[in-house]
Amino acid sequence: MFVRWICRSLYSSLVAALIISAPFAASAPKESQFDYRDLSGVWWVNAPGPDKLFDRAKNGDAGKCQTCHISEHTKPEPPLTSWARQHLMIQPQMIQTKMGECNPIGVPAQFWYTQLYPFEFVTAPGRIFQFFEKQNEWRVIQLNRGHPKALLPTSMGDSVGKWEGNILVVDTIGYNGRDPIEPVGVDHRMSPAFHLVERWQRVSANEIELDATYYDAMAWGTEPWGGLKKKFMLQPKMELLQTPCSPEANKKFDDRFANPSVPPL
Amino acid sequence: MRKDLMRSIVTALSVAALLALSSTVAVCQEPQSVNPAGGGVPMTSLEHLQAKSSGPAPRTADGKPDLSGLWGPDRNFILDISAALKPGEKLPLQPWALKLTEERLSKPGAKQEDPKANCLPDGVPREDPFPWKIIQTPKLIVFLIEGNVHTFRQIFMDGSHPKDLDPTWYGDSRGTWQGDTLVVDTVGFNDRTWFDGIGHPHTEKLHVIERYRRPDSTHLEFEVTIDDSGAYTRPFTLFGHSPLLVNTEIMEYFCVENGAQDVSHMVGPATVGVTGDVHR
Repeated sequence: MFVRWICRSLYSSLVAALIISAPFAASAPKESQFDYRDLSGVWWVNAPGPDKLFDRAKNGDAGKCQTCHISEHTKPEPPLTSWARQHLMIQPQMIQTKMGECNPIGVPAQFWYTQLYPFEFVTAPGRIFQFFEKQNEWRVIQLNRGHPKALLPTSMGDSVGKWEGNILVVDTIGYNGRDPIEPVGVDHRMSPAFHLVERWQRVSANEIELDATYYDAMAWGTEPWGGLKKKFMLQPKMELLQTPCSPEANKKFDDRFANPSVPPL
Repeated sequence: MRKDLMRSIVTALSVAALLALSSTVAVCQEPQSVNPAGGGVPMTSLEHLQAKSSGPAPRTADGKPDLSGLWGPDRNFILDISAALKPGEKLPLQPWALKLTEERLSKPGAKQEDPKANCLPDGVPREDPFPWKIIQTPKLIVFLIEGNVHTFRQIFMDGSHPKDLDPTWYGDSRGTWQGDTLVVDTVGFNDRTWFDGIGHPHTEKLHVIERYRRPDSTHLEFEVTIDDSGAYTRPFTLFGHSPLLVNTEIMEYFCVENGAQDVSHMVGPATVGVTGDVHR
């Protein structure tokens, strides 16, 4: 547990993160010991650590990283509608402020944080729970129903899932339209029409893949923004840490983010 | 329906509830119908959701009692945990802990220091006037907490406490089954949470043992033994129960959107006295 705090703290050290990940990978189950439809477990990116973020900071953007565009999308964002340009634009600094004030993160923004924080799937009859270490948020993926006709708009939206072969397809609507799509790199928030489709596939005993596509008719018309792909490694010995949001912790993070020379937390 | 009701009244009630806290001398002894700590819904709004008919407690595939379900809060764990002691028993506070509790009740602005008022986790055993849910798997049991902080607490069923624990809000919880009772042993707490709304404190020496039983399908009984030699002169045990809630679900509730702004209203001294009956 302590080493993971170290990982969080030594943001500029990719080496430390790799050292941490090695023993977890070594104890992962063998190929023959898994069910393709069992996503249970703690998952983390295969190169955990904020190297991507802080490499950028070290390369001249220190102090300005609120404006960094660190996109993991393999496809460019569709052009915004004129309505979106009038109503959805948000200053990057405002996104950071919302996060700093401990506003909800929700999905898909939580996927961005998986570079730093693992998540866990817990399966129960008729539903799958996803727990995010970042800010200790969670959501429910309902497996036995469609979306209710009357949805109360929320930050997490309403997620329903179904299996297509060995791929769990998760469909989420019902957003309140107040939250950023991603913490950095996207200069507008989602609209209430935001629609997230995730495809989760366990490709081996130790690895799952996420392929996410965003739809937002009010922001992009009929054109989806697809191509967000991430891979996660099973962490058999890892337990999610308690990381409730607090403004003081976020300030430390921001200070560290903006200036890698600041001593670790 | 519950969601609509909650959303529509939560903000107004937060201030009203604070006033109730400040003006109700007998609040520690009498049943409460309003969230006494800011934010939330009237407890009575949950009562009609309690399951009416009961049967045997369900069991999981491995034969353990299945504690899964949506459970209502126990009001005795919200404002003053003294109410959850055996009748006639008193909290064995050390002098400094008693003094601190009195300060939290009387000092102007002290309520601003309540972690709950700052949208921080409740810790153990504090509850809120919101439903909570148990997800049970063989190796992990999770408590989903609707609010005041919309978060979760993990109880690991396959290990012991790590040696190098960092102090945390909910501590490190390890569970075992003793017959039909889930026994949860928790250490590694930070000292930032308040046990309840009036501010009973604890230290990082806190060790909590909880025992959960489901005597039938619609009731959950629990005992919470508090051992904190840093703040209390001896261990003590709290007794609680939760009703099963039906036809509803945990809703998304983010404190920061509904209650954090109320911190600025928590400036006046509380008028509730620290009575000897409750605190000595």
